[in-house]
Amino acid sequence: MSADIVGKDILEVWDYRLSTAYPIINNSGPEWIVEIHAKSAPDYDPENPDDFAKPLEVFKTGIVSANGDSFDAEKVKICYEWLKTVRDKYSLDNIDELKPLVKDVRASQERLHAALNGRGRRDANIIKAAVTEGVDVTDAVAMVDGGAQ
Amino acid sequence: MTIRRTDALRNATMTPLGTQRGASAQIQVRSGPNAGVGGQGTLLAQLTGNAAGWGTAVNGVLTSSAITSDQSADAAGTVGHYQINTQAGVFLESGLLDTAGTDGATIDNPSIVVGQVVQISSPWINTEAYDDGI
Repeated sequence: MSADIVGKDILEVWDYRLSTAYPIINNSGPEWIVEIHAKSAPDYDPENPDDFAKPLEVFKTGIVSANGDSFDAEKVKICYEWLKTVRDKYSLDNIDELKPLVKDVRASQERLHAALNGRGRRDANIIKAAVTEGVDVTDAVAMVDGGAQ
Repeated sequence: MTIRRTDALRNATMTPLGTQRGASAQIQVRSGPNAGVGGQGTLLAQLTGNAAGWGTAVNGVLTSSAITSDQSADAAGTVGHYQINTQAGVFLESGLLDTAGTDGATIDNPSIVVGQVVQISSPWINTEAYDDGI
């Protein structure tokens, strides 16, 4: 098993912005199942549930579902290992062009996420304290940004 | 209906909902109706739940903490439903997302354009009924 998989965030193995498809892990049945769904699927007719969007691919893990096991990292990791083996099939054609752009968007999202969750205020306090101690403001901002990597 | 639960009990039943959604949950904005299974319609945008956990239940009302907007919507389309996954991508629930606010969740502008910011302007609220709701 790859050492880099933690089993916490789907972005560890699959960024939907770089793919034509999206993985869904489903543990609501008797076993954990991983499905690959097209990102763009026709809207079904509620009067005709037979035309639900079907998954493009399904992997039955054999892992028995249990109440409240949605955060079981070991089970998630097994799903991620399989996802790594199929993800390239669904990569967008211009993935190499998109990667740096998506990286920028994700960095922006992460900064916003951190700010909304309190890190912004903490960073502001660190910068303020550093400047008070005589650190140049540009260096203080860089120090905080570096710490966020 | 003669059932009347206390606020304390309603609170105790809502807390696990927040726990199951967990930290940094994925809130997907999708086209078309939901179907009780994930992956229906087109994925238009994805917001992110609070990093410290979904939110807090008080007196039977589960209120989300801050939800991070999607800085760049992935596809154009008309919003139809939401889908919530855990941060790890495990499917949890879906529901209608429309302007009427009669069921599921409400959005002020259902027409999404590629690259636009999609944000939630107020906390996500779930209220436990005082009875079985039937």
